[in-house]
Amino acid sequence: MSAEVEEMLKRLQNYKNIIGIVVIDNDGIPIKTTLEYTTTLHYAAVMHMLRQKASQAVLDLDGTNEFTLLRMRTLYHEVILCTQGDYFIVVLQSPCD
Amino acid sequence: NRSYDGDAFVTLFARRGGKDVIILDADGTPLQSTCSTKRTFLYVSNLKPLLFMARNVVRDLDPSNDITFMRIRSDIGEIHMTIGTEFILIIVQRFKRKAVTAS
Repeated sequence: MSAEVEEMLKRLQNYKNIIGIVVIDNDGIPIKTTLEYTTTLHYAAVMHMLRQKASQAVLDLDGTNEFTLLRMRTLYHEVILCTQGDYFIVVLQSPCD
Repeated sequence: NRSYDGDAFVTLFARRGGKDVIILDADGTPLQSTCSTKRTFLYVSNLKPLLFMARNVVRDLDPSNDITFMRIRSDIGEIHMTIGTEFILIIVQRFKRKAVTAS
């Protein structure tokens, strides 16, 4: 299973727009990453908090709803945060324009 | 003063799956909305802290960066938030249900 995961990460990383990928578990600890160490820790801490907040917000708005994806467009790049049960993945990409 | 019956944008938007449009000023105070005051308040009180937190996150990671757009997707719909210099625009969209075929 781990070989598939590695292959998938490598394939994702090869897209020309992708700056970095971080896979974070539910406690906020980064499991897999393509960024450097300090940046990864920073992203993991901050995205973990944001993910909790977003999940709570969606649940408050509609009790049956569950948040799956969060996408933030900033001036220089775009951050995509995708939840998947036990862990979540944060992808940093530079936009096509 | 809140009648959107003849509004072309709102009707076309509703036909495409959009549910609500909320316009806020730069501080997050609701200015106009297509849903009731109570519902607007519910949306804003949940989404405004999230939006400002996301902005702080982005600036924390890179102080010169700033957020322009945020999209939250869930099982039944999406919420788009656009930040401009003078306004914040929130759009709530519901997905159309596809017919489920037995497999």
